[in-house]
Amino acid sequence: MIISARASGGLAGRVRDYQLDTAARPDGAALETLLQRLDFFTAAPANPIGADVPRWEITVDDGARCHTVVVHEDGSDGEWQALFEHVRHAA
Amino acid sequence: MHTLTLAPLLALADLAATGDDDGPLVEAEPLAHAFGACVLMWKQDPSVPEIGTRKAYLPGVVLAGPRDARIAPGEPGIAAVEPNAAGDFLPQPDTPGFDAVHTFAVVRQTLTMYARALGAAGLAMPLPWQWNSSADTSPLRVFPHGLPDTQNAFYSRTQGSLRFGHFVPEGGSERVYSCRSFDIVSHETAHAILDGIKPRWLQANAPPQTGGLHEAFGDLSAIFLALSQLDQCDAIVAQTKASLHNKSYLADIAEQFGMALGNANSLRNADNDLRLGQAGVQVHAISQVFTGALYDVLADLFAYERAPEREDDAVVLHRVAAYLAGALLRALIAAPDEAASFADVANTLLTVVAQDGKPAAYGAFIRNQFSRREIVEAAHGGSAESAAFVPGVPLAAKVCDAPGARQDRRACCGTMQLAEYDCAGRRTAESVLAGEARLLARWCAEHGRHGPALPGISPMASPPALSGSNRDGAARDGAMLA
Repeated sequence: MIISARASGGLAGRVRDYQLDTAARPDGAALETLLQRLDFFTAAPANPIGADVPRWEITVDDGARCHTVVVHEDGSDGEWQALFEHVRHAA
Repeated sequence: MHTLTLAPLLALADLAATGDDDGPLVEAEPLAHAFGACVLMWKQDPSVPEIGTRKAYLPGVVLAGPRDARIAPGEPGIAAVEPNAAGDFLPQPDTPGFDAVHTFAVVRQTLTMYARALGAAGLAMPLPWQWNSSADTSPLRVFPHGLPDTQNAFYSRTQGSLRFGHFVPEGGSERVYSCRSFDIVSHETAHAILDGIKPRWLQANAPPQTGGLHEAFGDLSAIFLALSQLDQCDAIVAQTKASLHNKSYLADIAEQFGMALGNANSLRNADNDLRLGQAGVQVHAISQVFTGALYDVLADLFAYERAPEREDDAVVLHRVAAYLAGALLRALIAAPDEAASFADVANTLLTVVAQDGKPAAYGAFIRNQFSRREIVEAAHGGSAESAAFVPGVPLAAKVCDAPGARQDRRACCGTMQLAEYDCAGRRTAESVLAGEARLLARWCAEHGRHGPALPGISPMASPPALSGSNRDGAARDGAMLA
Protein backbone atom coordinates (compact mmCIF):
# COMPACT_ATOMS: atom_id res chain seq x y z
CA MET A 1 0.00 0.00 0.00
CA ILE A 2 1.17 3.48 -0.77
CA ILE A 3 0.31 6.04 1.90
CA SER A 4 0.50 9.75 1.08
CA ALA A 5 -0.23 12.19 3.86
CA ARG A 6 -0.16 15.91 4.48
CA ALA A 7 -0.27 17.26 8.01
CA SER A 8 -1.08 20.93 8.33
CA GLY A 9 -2.53 23.57 10.55
CA GLY A 10 -1.93 23.67 14.24
CA LEU A 11 -0.71 26.62 16.23
CA ALA A 12 2.22 27.12 13.87
CA GLY A 13 0.26 26.27 10.75
CA ARG A 14 3.12 24.36 9.20
CA VAL A 15 2.78 21.76 6.47
CA ARG A 16 4.53 18.42 6.33
CA ASP A 17 4.20 15.86 3.57
CA TYR A 18 4.82 12.16 4.01
CA GLN A 19 4.92 9.25 1.60
CA LEU A 20 5.56 5.66 2.48
CA ASP A 21 5.22 2.20 0.98
CA THR A 22 4.16 -0.44 3.47
CA ALA A 23 5.95 -3.10 1.41
CA ALA A 24 9.25 -1.36 2.04
CA ARG A 25 8.93 -0.83 5.76
CA PRO A 26 9.55 -3.09 8.74
CA ASP A 27 6.31 -1.85 10.33
CA GLY A 28 4.43 -2.27 7.03
CA ALA A 29 2.36 -5.24 8.16
CA ALA A 30 1.35 -3.45 11.33
CA LEU A 31 0.39 -0.40 9.32
CA GLU A 32 -1.79 -2.45 6.99
CA THR A 33 -3.48 -4.10 9.96
CA LEU A 34 -4.11 -0.70 11.47
CA LEU A 35 -5.66 0.55 8.21
CA GLN A 36 -7.92 -2.51 8.16
CA ARG A 37 -9.03 -1.86 11.73
CA LEU A 38 -9.84 1.72 10.74
CA ASP A 39 -11.76 0.38 7.73
CA PHE A 40 -9.87 3.08 5.92
CA PHE A 41 -11.37 2.64 2.47
CA THR A 42 -14.86 3.45 3.73
CA ALA A 43 -13.88 5.65 6.65
CA ALA A 44 -15.45 9.06 7.08
CA PRO A 45 -14.30 10.16 10.52
CA ALA A 46 -16.16 12.84 12.42
CA ASN A 47 -14.21 16.02 12.71
CA PRO A 48 -14.04 18.28 15.72
CA ILE A 49 -14.75 21.97 16.00
CA GLY A 50 -11.89 23.96 17.37
CA ALA A 51 -8.94 26.16 16.60
CA ASP A 52 -5.36 25.16 15.89
CA VAL A 53 -6.34 21.49 15.61
CA PRO A 54 -3.97 19.83 13.10
CA ARG A 55 -5.54 18.57 9.90
CA TRP A 56 -4.44 15.42 8.11
CA GLU A 57 -5.24 14.55 4.53
CA ILE A 58 -4.35 10.90 4.04
CA THR A 59 -4.56 8.94 0.81
CA VAL A 60 -4.06 5.19 0.69
CA ASP A 61 -3.69 3.28 -2.58
CA ASP A 62 -3.64 -0.52 -2.46
CA GLY A 63 -3.51 -0.97 -6.23
CA ALA A 64 -7.21 -1.73 -6.50
CA ARG A 65 -8.63 1.07 -4.42
CA CYS A 66 -7.60 4.59 -3.65
CA HIS A 67 -9.28 6.58 -0.90
CA THR A 68 -8.60 9.95 0.72
CA VAL A 69 -9.66 10.87 4.21
CA VAL A 70 -9.51 14.24 5.97
CA VAL A 71 -9.21 13.83 9.71
CA HIS A 72 -8.21 16.13 12.57
CA GLU A 73 -5.67 15.22 15.21
CA ASP A 74 -7.33 16.03 18.49
CA GLY A 75 -6.19 12.91 20.29
CA SER A 76 -9.71 11.61 20.78
CA ASP A 77 -9.36 8.44 18.73
CA GLY A 78 -6.58 6.06 19.60
CA GLU A 79 -6.59 4.19 16.29
CA TRP A 80 -6.30 7.32 14.19
CA GLN A 81 -3.71 8.69 16.59
CA ALA A 82 -1.70 5.50 16.10
CA LEU A 83 -1.83 6.04 12.34
CA PHE A 84 -0.63 9.63 12.72
CA GLU A 85 2.28 8.45 14.86
CA HIS A 86 3.24 5.74 12.38
CA VAL A 87 3.23 8.20 9.50
CA ARG A 88 5.05 10.89 11.44
CA HIS A 89 7.82 8.55 12.52
CA ALA A 90 8.23 7.33 8.97
CA ALA A 91 9.70 10.69 8.01
CA MET B 1 -18.82 35.31 46.02
CA HIS B 2 -17.67 38.12 48.22
CA THR B 3 -16.40 41.16 46.49
CA LEU B 4 -14.07 43.32 48.44
CA THR B 5 -14.84 46.96 47.92
CA LEU B 6 -12.61 49.90 48.64
CA ALA B 7 -15.52 52.27 49.11
CA PRO B 8 -15.79 51.95 52.89
CA LEU B 9 -12.05 52.33 53.26
CA LEU B 10 -12.01 55.39 51.03
CA ALA B 11 -14.84 56.91 53.03
CA LEU B 12 -12.83 56.45 56.18
CA ALA B 13 -9.79 57.94 54.51
CA ASP B 14 -11.83 60.96 53.49
CA LEU B 15 -12.98 61.45 57.03
CA ALA B 16 -9.45 61.23 58.33
CA ALA B 17 -8.24 63.69 55.75
CA THR B 18 -10.86 66.32 56.52
CA GLY B 19 -10.91 65.82 60.22
CA ASP B 20 -14.69 65.91 60.02
CA ASP B 21 -15.88 64.32 63.22
CA ASP B 22 -19.32 65.89 63.33
CA GLY B 23 -21.04 63.38 61.08
CA PRO B 24 -22.13 59.89 61.95
CA LEU B 25 -19.33 57.52 62.67
CA VAL B 26 -18.56 55.49 59.58
CA GLU B 27 -17.10 52.11 60.08
CA ALA B 28 -15.61 49.92 57.46
CA GLU B 29 -17.40 46.74 56.72
CA PRO B 30 -15.57 43.91 58.38
CA LEU B 31 -13.35 42.33 55.78
CA ALA B 32 -14.38 38.83 54.96
CA HIS B 33 -11.70 36.23 55.01
CA ALA B 34 -10.23 37.11 51.65
CA PHE B 35 -10.62 34.61 48.90
CA GLY B 36 -7.92 34.33 46.35
CA ALA B 37 -4.61 32.65 45.90
CA CYS B 38 -1.11 33.55 44.96
CA VAL B 39 0.39 31.60 42.12
CA LEU B 40 3.83 31.41 40.62
CA MET B 41 3.98 31.75 36.85
CA TRP B 42 6.25 32.55 33.95
CA LYS B 43 6.00 36.14 32.79
CA GLN B 44 6.61 34.98 29.21
CA ASP B 45 8.24 31.58 29.00
CA PRO B 46 11.45 29.88 30.13
CA SER B 47 13.39 31.33 27.17
CA VAL B 48 12.91 34.91 28.36
CA PRO B 49 15.01 34.70 31.51
CA GLU B 50 15.46 38.43 32.01
CA ILE B 51 11.92 38.64 33.36
CA GLY B 52 11.55 35.06 34.62
CA THR B 53 8.72 34.20 36.96
CA ARG B 54 6.42 36.26 39.08
CA LYS B 55 3.94 35.78 41.86
CA ALA B 56 0.45 36.76 40.87
CA TYR B 57 -2.68 37.11 42.96
CA LEU B 58 -5.87 35.57 41.61
CA PRO B 59 -8.75 37.26 43.47
CA GLY B 60 -11.30 34.48 43.53
CA VAL B 61 -11.87 31.05 44.93
CA VAL B 62 -9.19 28.66 43.72
CA LEU B 63 -9.35 25.08 44.87
CA ALA B 64 -6.92 22.18 44.59
CA GLY B 65 -6.13 21.38 41.00
CA PRO B 66 -6.04 24.32 40.56
CA ARG B 67 -9.64 24.83 39.54
CA ASP B 68 -12.47 27.28 39.92
CA ALA B 69 -16.03 27.56 38.64
CA ARG B 70 -15.00 28.12 35.01
CA ILE B 71 -11.67 26.33 34.60
CA ALA B 72 -10.75 22.82 35.66
CA PRO B 73 -7.85 20.47 35.09
CA GLY B 74 -8.44 17.82 32.45
CA GLU B 75 -8.43 14.20 33.50
CA PRO B 76 -6.44 12.12 33.20
CA GLY B 77 -3.73 14.66 33.55
CA ILE B 78 -1.34 16.17 36.03
CA ALA B 79 -2.03 15.20 39.63
CA ALA B 80 -4.03 17.88 41.39
CA VAL B 81 -1.83 20.51 43.02
CA GLU B 82 -2.75 21.19 46.62
CA PRO B 83 -2.41 24.70 48.00
CA ASN B 84 0.04 25.41 50.77
CA ALA B 85 -1.01 26.40 54.27
CA ALA B 86 -1.68 29.96 53.12
CA GLY B 87 -3.90 28.81 50.29
CA ASP B 88 -1.28 29.58 47.66
CA PHE B 89 -0.01 27.56 44.73
CA LEU B 90 3.75 27.95 44.49
CA PRO B 91 5.38 24.82 43.06
CA GLN B 92 8.89 25.04 41.68
CA PRO B 93 9.33 25.82 37.98
CA ASP B 94 10.01 22.92 35.61
CA THR B 95 7.71 20.60 37.49
CA PRO B 96 4.31 19.25 36.43
CA GLY B 97 2.71 21.02 39.36
CA PHE B 98 4.13 24.35 38.26
CA ASP B 99 2.87 23.73 34.74
CA ALA B 100 -0.63 23.06 36.05
CA VAL B 101 -0.60 26.24 38.11
CA HIS B 102 0.92 28.44 35.41
CA THR B 103 -1.54 27.21 32.79
CA PHE B 104 -4.53 27.67 35.06
CA ALA B 105 -3.33 31.14 36.02
CA VAL B 106 -2.97 32.35 32.43
CA VAL B 107 -6.38 30.98 31.43
CA ARG B 108 -7.95 32.63 34.48
CA GLN B 109 -6.17 35.94 33.91
CA THR B 110 -7.22 36.05 30.26
CA LEU B 111 -10.87 35.40 31.12
CA THR B 112 -10.77 37.94 33.95
CA MET B 113 -9.12 40.57 31.75
CA TYR B 114 -11.94 40.48 29.22
CA ALA B 115 -14.69 40.22 31.84
CA ARG B 116 -13.28 43.33 33.51
CA ALA B 117 -13.06 45.11 30.16
CA LEU B 118 -16.72 44.49 29.45
CA GLY B 119 -17.67 45.41 32.99
CA ALA B 120 -15.78 48.70 32.69
CA ALA B 121 -17.83 49.48 29.59
CA GLY B 122 -21.11 48.73 31.38
CA LEU B 123 -21.54 45.44 29.57
CA ALA B 124 -20.80 43.02 32.38
CA MET B 125 -21.28 39.41 31.37
CA PRO B 126 -19.67 36.14 32.42
CA LEU B 127 -18.24 35.31 28.97
CA PRO B 128 -19.67 31.79 28.85
CA TRP B 129 -17.92 29.01 27.00
CA GLN B 130 -19.63 27.99 23.79
CA TRP B 131 -21.35 24.97 25.37
CA ASN B 132 -22.56 26.77 28.49
CA SER B 133 -26.29 27.12 28.87
CA SER B 134 -28.87 27.34 31.59
CA ALA B 135 -28.45 23.58 31.90
CA ASP B 136 -24.71 23.21 31.34
CA THR B 137 -22.18 25.26 33.25
CA SER B 138 -19.31 22.89 32.56
CA PRO B 139 -15.88 24.43 32.93
CA LEU B 140 -13.19 24.57 30.30
CA ARG B 141 -10.92 21.58 30.80
CA VAL B 142 -7.21 22.29 30.62
CA PHE B 143 -4.60 19.66 29.78
CA PRO B 144 -1.15 21.25 30.24
CA HIS B 145 0.61 18.04 29.20
CA GLY B 146 -2.22 16.90 26.93
CA LEU B 147 -0.30 16.27 23.71
CA PRO B 148 2.84 14.22 24.29
CA ASP B 149 5.57 14.58 21.66
CA THR B 150 3.49 17.06 19.73
CA GLN B 151 4.53 20.48 18.48
CA ASN B 152 1.16 22.04 19.00
CA ALA B 153 -1.54 23.38 21.28
CA PHE B 154 -5.20 23.72 20.47
CA TYR B 155 -8.69 24.63 21.60
CA SER B 156 -11.37 22.00 21.03
CA ARG B 157 -15.01 22.92 21.39
CA THR B 158 -15.84 19.27 20.79
CA GLN B 159 -13.86 18.25 23.86
CA GLY B 160 -14.51 21.44 25.80
CA SER B 161 -10.81 21.70 26.40
CA LEU B 162 -7.44 23.27 25.79
CA ARG B 163 -4.60 20.85 25.14
CA PHE B 164 -0.93 21.71 25.14
CA GLY B 165 1.85 19.73 23.54
CA HIS B 166 5.40 19.05 24.60
CA PHE B 167 8.29 17.79 22.55
CA VAL B 168 12.03 17.62 22.13
CA PRO B 169 13.07 19.89 19.25
CA GLU B 170 15.09 18.45 16.40
CA GLY B 171 18.72 18.54 17.38
CA GLY B 172 17.83 19.50 20.93
CA SER B 173 17.89 17.69 24.22
CA GLU B 174 15.64 19.83 26.41
CA ARG B 175 11.92 19.16 26.19
CA VAL B 176 9.80 22.18 25.32
CA TYR B 177 6.39 22.50 26.99
CA SER B 178 3.97 24.75 25.16
CA CYS B 179 1.94 25.18 28.35
CA ARG B 180 4.86 27.11 29.84
CA SER B 181 4.32 29.83 27.29
CA PHE B 182 2.27 32.71 28.61
CA ASP B 183 1.52 33.66 24.99
CA ILE B 184 0.36 30.23 23.84
CA VAL B 185 -1.93 29.65 26.81
CA SER B 186 -3.49 33.09 26.44
CA HIS B 187 -3.83 32.56 22.66
CA GLU B 188 -5.72 29.28 23.08
CA THR B 189 -7.90 30.71 25.84
CA ALA B 190 -8.84 33.56 23.54
CA HIS B 191 -10.08 31.04 20.98
CA ALA B 192 -12.36 29.57 23.64
CA ILE B 193 -13.63 33.01 24.70
CA LEU B 194 -14.33 34.13 21.14
CA ASP B 195 -16.03 30.83 20.32
CA GLY B 196 -18.42 31.50 23.20
CA ILE B 197 -19.36 34.80 21.58
CA LYS B 198 -19.22 33.99 17.87
CA PRO B 199 -19.72 30.23 17.45
CA ARG B 200 -20.14 30.42 13.70
CA TRP B 201 -16.71 31.92 13.16
CA LEU B 202 -15.14 28.46 13.51
CA GLN B 203 -17.31 26.85 10.88
CA ALA B 204 -15.49 25.13 8.07
CA ASN B 205 -17.03 27.37 5.46
CA ALA B 206 -16.01 30.60 7.19
CA PRO B 207 -14.06 32.92 4.90
CA PRO B 208 -10.31 33.40 5.39
CA GLN B 209 -10.61 36.74 7.15
CA THR B 210 -13.04 35.29 9.69
CA GLY B 211 -10.53 32.60 10.57
CA GLY B 212 -7.85 35.24 10.63
CA LEU B 213 -9.82 37.26 13.18
CA HIS B 214 -9.80 34.23 15.50
CA GLU B 215 -6.05 33.83 15.23
CA ALA B 216 -5.37 37.55 15.55
CA PHE B 217 -7.54 37.74 18.66
CA GLY B 218 -5.41 34.94 20.10
CA ASP B 219 -2.11 36.70 19.52
CA LEU B 220 -3.44 40.10 20.57
CA SER B 221 -4.83 38.61 23.78
CA ALA B 222 -1.34 37.48 24.72
CA ILE B 223 -0.08 41.03 24.21
CA PHE B 224 -2.94 42.62 26.10
CA LEU B 225 -2.61 40.15 28.96
CA ALA B 226 1.09 40.97 29.33
CA LEU B 227 0.18 44.65 29.43
CA SER B 228 -2.52 44.04 32.03
CA GLN B 229 0.32 43.47 34.49
CA LEU B 230 2.08 46.59 35.69
CA ASP B 231 5.44 44.96 36.18
CA GLN B 232 5.39 43.84 32.56
CA CYS B 233 4.44 47.35 31.42
CA ASP B 234 7.38 48.67 33.35
CA ALA B 235 9.71 46.12 31.77
CA ILE B 236 8.40 46.87 28.26
CA VAL B 237 8.80 50.62 28.72
CA ALA B 238 12.37 50.10 29.86
CA GLN B 239 13.17 47.68 27.06
CA THR B 240 11.67 49.85 24.31
CA LYS B 241 12.42 53.27 25.81
CA ALA B 242 8.68 53.87 25.51
CA SER B 243 8.46 53.24 21.77
CA LEU B 244 6.54 50.04 21.11
CA HIS B 245 8.15 49.70 17.69
CA ASN B 246 11.53 49.15 19.28
CA LYS B 247 12.29 45.48 19.66
CA SER B 248 10.94 43.83 22.75
CA TYR B 249 9.50 40.55 23.91
CA LEU B 250 6.03 42.10 23.80
CA ALA B 251 5.58 41.81 20.04
CA ASP B 252 7.21 38.38 19.87
CA ILE B 253 4.58 35.69 20.20
CA ALA B 254 5.61 32.32 21.69
CA GLU B 255 9.36 32.83 21.83
CA GLN B 256 10.50 29.44 23.06
CA PHE B 257 8.04 27.51 20.93
CA GLY B 258 8.96 29.45 17.80
CA MET B 259 12.68 29.00 18.32
CA ALA B 260 12.16 25.28 18.94
CA LEU B 261 10.55 25.14 15.51
CA GLY B 262 13.57 26.80 13.98
CA ASN B 263 12.44 30.43 13.85
CA ALA B 264 14.89 33.15 14.79
CA ASN B 265 12.95 34.76 17.64
CA SER B 266 9.40 33.57 18.01
CA LEU B 267 6.43 31.97 16.31
CA ARG B 268 5.01 35.27 15.03
CA ASN B 269 5.73 38.96 15.43
CA ALA B 270 2.96 41.48 15.95
CA ASP B 271 5.17 44.41 14.98
CA ASN B 272 5.09 43.58 11.28
CA ASP B 273 4.30 45.47 8.07
CA LEU B 274 2.22 42.87 6.24
CA ARG B 275 -0.61 44.09 4.03
CA LEU B 276 -3.81 42.25 3.25
CA GLY B 277 -3.03 42.02 -0.44
CA GLN B 278 0.09 40.01 0.38
CA ALA B 279 -1.34 37.62 2.92
CA GLY B 280 -3.13 34.87 0.99
CA VAL B 281 -5.87 32.84 2.64
CA GLN B 282 -4.09 30.81 5.30
CA VAL B 283 -5.57 31.78 8.65
CA HIS B 284 -2.34 32.34 10.56
CA ALA B 285 -0.76 34.27 7.69
CA ILE B 286 -3.72 36.52 7.19
CA SER B 287 -4.15 37.01 10.93
CA GLN B 288 -0.82 38.80 11.11
CA VAL B 289 -2.21 41.65 9.06
CA PHE B 290 -4.95 42.36 11.58
CA THR B 291 -2.62 41.74 14.51
CA GLY B 292 -0.06 44.12 13.03
CA ALA B 293 -2.63 46.82 12.40
CA LEU B 294 -3.93 46.72 15.94
CA TYR B 295 -0.42 46.60 17.37
CA ASP B 296 0.32 49.76 15.41
CA VAL B 297 -2.84 51.37 16.82
CA LEU B 298 -1.67 50.42 20.31
CA ALA B 299 1.71 52.03 19.64
CA ASP B 300 0.02 55.16 18.27
CA LEU B 301 -2.36 55.47 21.22
CA PHE B 302 0.47 55.01 23.69
CA ALA B 303 2.57 57.68 21.98
CA TYR B 304 -0.45 60.00 21.90
CA GLU B 305 -1.36 59.53 25.56
CA ARG B 306 2.15 59.64 26.96
CA ALA B 307 2.89 62.52 29.30
CA PRO B 308 6.05 61.52 31.13
CA GLU B 309 6.24 64.88 32.84
CA ARG B 310 2.98 64.08 34.61
CA GLU B 311 2.55 60.34 34.67
CA ASP B 312 4.69 57.25 34.60
CA ASP B 313 4.85 55.68 31.14
CA ALA B 314 4.11 52.23 32.48
CA VAL B 315 0.86 53.43 34.02
CA VAL B 316 -0.18 55.02 30.74
CA LEU B 317 0.69 51.89 28.79
CA HIS B 318 -1.31 49.79 31.23
CA ARG B 319 -4.34 52.05 30.83
CA VAL B 320 -4.15 52.39 27.06
CA ALA B 321 -3.76 48.64 26.54
CA ALA B 322 -6.68 47.89 28.88
CA TYR B 323 -8.86 50.27 26.93
CA LEU B 324 -7.88 48.89 23.56
CA ALA B 325 -8.35 45.28 24.71
CA GLY B 326 -11.89 46.06 25.79
CA ALA B 327 -12.61 48.08 22.66
CA LEU B 328 -11.42 45.21 20.49
CA LEU B 329 -13.62 42.70 22.30
CA ARG B 330 -16.63 44.99 21.99
CA ALA B 331 -15.86 45.49 18.30
CA LEU B 332 -15.72 41.74 17.79
CA ILE B 333 -19.02 41.30 19.63
CA ALA B 334 -20.63 43.94 17.43
CA ALA B 335 -19.29 42.38 14.22
CA PRO B 336 -21.46 40.09 12.07
CA ASP B 337 -22.19 36.65 13.48
CA GLU B 338 -21.10 34.98 10.28
CA ALA B 339 -18.41 35.68 7.70
CA ALA B 340 -17.02 38.71 9.52
CA SER B 341 -14.23 40.51 7.71
CA PHE B 342 -11.34 42.60 8.97
CA ALA B 343 -13.13 45.67 7.60
CA ASP B 344 -16.22 44.80 9.65
CA VAL B 345 -14.20 44.84 12.84
CA ALA B 346 -12.25 47.96 11.86
CA ASN B 347 -15.57 49.75 11.41
CA THR B 348 -17.10 48.48 14.65
CA LEU B 349 -13.91 49.51 16.42
CA LEU B 350 -14.30 53.03 15.02
CA THR B 351 -17.87 53.03 16.31
CA VAL B 352 -16.77 51.91 19.76
CA VAL B 353 -14.15 54.64 20.20
CA ALA B 354 -16.62 57.25 18.92
CA GLN B 355 -19.31 56.06 21.33
CA ASP B 356 -16.81 56.22 24.16
CA GLY B 357 -16.16 59.86 23.36
CA LYS B 358 -12.49 59.33 22.72
CA PRO B 359 -10.47 62.08 21.01
CA ALA B 360 -10.69 62.18 17.22
CA ALA B 361 -7.08 61.02 17.11
CA TYR B 362 -8.19 57.55 18.23
CA GLY B 363 -10.36 57.11 15.16
CA ALA B 364 -7.68 58.65 12.96
CA PHE B 365 -5.09 56.15 14.18
CA ILE B 366 -7.46 53.25 13.48
CA ARG B 367 -8.32 54.53 10.00
CA ASN B 368 -4.70 55.18 9.18
CA GLN B 369 -3.35 51.84 10.33
CA PHE B 370 -6.16 49.72 8.92
CA SER B 371 -6.05 51.49 5.57
CA ARG B 372 -2.27 51.19 5.44
CA ARG B 373 -2.77 47.44 5.77
CA GLU B 374 -5.26 47.47 2.86
CA ILE B 375 -8.07 46.45 5.18
CA VAL B 376 -10.27 49.51 4.60
CA GLU B 377 -10.24 52.57 2.41
CA ALA B 378 -8.88 55.60 4.23
CA ALA B 379 -11.91 57.75 3.50
CA HIS B 380 -15.24 57.89 1.73
CA GLY B 381 -15.62 58.26 -2.03
CA GLY B 382 -14.05 60.61 -4.50
CA SER B 383 -10.53 60.87 -5.73
CA ALA B 384 -7.59 60.58 -3.44
CA GLU B 385 -7.51 64.37 -3.25
CA SER B 386 -11.20 64.91 -2.61
CA ALA B 387 -12.07 61.89 -0.50
CA ALA B 388 -13.17 62.79 2.98
CA PHE B 389 -13.91 60.82 6.08
CA VAL B 390 -17.51 60.95 7.24
CA PRO B 391 -17.81 59.97 10.89
CA GLY B 392 -20.31 57.23 11.50
CA VAL B 393 -20.27 55.94 7.95
CA PRO B 394 -18.48 52.61 7.57
CA LEU B 395 -15.32 52.57 5.52
CA ALA B 396 -15.33 50.31 2.50
CA ALA B 397 -13.24 47.19 2.58
CA LYS B 398 -10.17 47.50 0.42
CA VAL B 399 -9.19 43.86 -0.07
CA CYS B 400 -12.01 41.35 0.25
CA ASP B 401 -12.08 37.60 0.41
CA ALA B 402 -12.87 36.16 -2.99
CA PRO B 403 -16.53 35.14 -3.31
CA GLY B 404 -16.96 31.72 -1.82
CA ALA B 405 -13.41 31.66 -0.49
CA ARG B 406 -12.88 29.40 2.46
CA GLN B 407 -10.21 29.70 5.03
CA ASP B 408 -7.16 27.57 4.52
CA ARG B 409 -5.94 25.94 7.68
CA ARG B 410 -3.44 23.85 5.76
CA ALA B 411 -0.68 25.95 4.33
CA CYS B 412 1.47 27.91 6.53
CA CYS B 413 2.92 31.12 7.37
CA GLY B 414 5.42 29.74 9.74
CA THR B 415 4.24 31.96 12.08
CA MET B 416 1.07 30.96 12.70
CA GLN B 417 -7.43 27.48 49.83
CA LEU B 418 -7.57 26.65 51.51
CA ALA B 419 -9.36 23.58 50.58
CA GLU B 420 -12.51 24.05 52.50
CA TYR B 421 -12.20 27.40 54.16
CA ASP B 422 -15.35 29.31 54.56
CA CYS B 423 -16.33 32.94 54.41
CA ALA B 424 -17.40 34.39 57.71
CA GLY B 425 -18.20 30.87 58.75
CA ARG B 426 -21.12 30.61 56.37
CA ARG B 427 -20.11 29.39 53.01
CA THR B 428 -17.52 26.98 51.96
CA ALA B 429 -15.37 27.66 48.99
CA GLU B 430 -17.13 24.90 47.12
CA SER B 431 -20.46 26.53 47.68
CA VAL B 432 -19.06 29.79 46.33
CA LEU B 433 -18.06 28.06 43.12
CA ALA B 434 -21.47 26.44 42.94
CA GLY B 435 -22.98 29.89 43.35
CA GLU B 436 -20.88 31.20 40.47
CA ALA B 437 -22.10 28.32 38.33
CA ARG B 438 -25.69 29.18 39.23
CA LEU B 439 -25.09 32.79 38.25
CA LEU B 440 -23.69 31.63 34.94
CA ALA B 441 -26.73 29.39 34.37
CA ARG B 442 -29.06 32.25 35.24
CA TRP B 443 -27.26 34.60 32.88
CA CYS B 444 -27.51 31.98 30.13
CA ALA B 445 -31.23 31.54 30.81
CA GLU B 446 -31.80 35.28 30.72
CA HIS B 447 -29.99 35.56 27.43
CA GLY B 448 -31.58 32.70 25.56
CA ARG B 449 -28.82 30.15 25.94
CA HIS B 450 -30.91 27.12 26.75
CA GLY B 451 -29.21 23.80 26.57
CA PRO B 452 -30.56 20.59 25.14
CA ALA B 453 -31.86 19.56 28.55
CA LEU B 454 -34.46 22.29 28.30
CA PRO B 455 -36.16 21.60 24.97
CA GLY B 456 -38.96 23.73 23.71
CA ILE B 457 -37.85 26.96 25.27
CA SER B 458 -37.71 29.67 22.68
CA PRO B 459 -34.58 31.76 22.56
CA MET B 460 -35.03 35.22 23.95
CA ALA B 461 -34.18 38.35 22.11
CA SER B 462 -30.49 39.08 22.04
CA PRO B 463 -29.22 41.85 24.26
CA PRO B 464 -27.66 44.75 22.40
CA ALA B 465 -24.17 43.91 23.50
CA LEU B 466 -24.41 40.43 22.12
CA SER B 467 -26.52 40.82 19.05
CA GLY B 468 -26.90 37.53 17.33
CA SER B 469 -24.29 35.60 19.22
CA ASN B 470 -24.78 32.06 20.36
CA ARG B 471 -28.50 31.74 19.93
CA ASP B 472 -28.65 28.71 17.74
CA GLY B 473 -28.08 26.13 20.41
CA ALA B 474 -25.38 24.66 18.24
CA ALA B 475 -24.35 21.28 19.50
CA ARG B 476 -20.81 20.95 20.65
CA ASP B 477 -20.16 18.07 18.31
CA GLY B 478 -20.71 17.16 14.79
CA ALA B 479 -19.82 20.06 12.56
CA MET B 480 -16.80 19.96 10.36
CA LEU B 481 -13.88 22.24 10.91
CA ALA B 482 -11.62 23.17 8.08
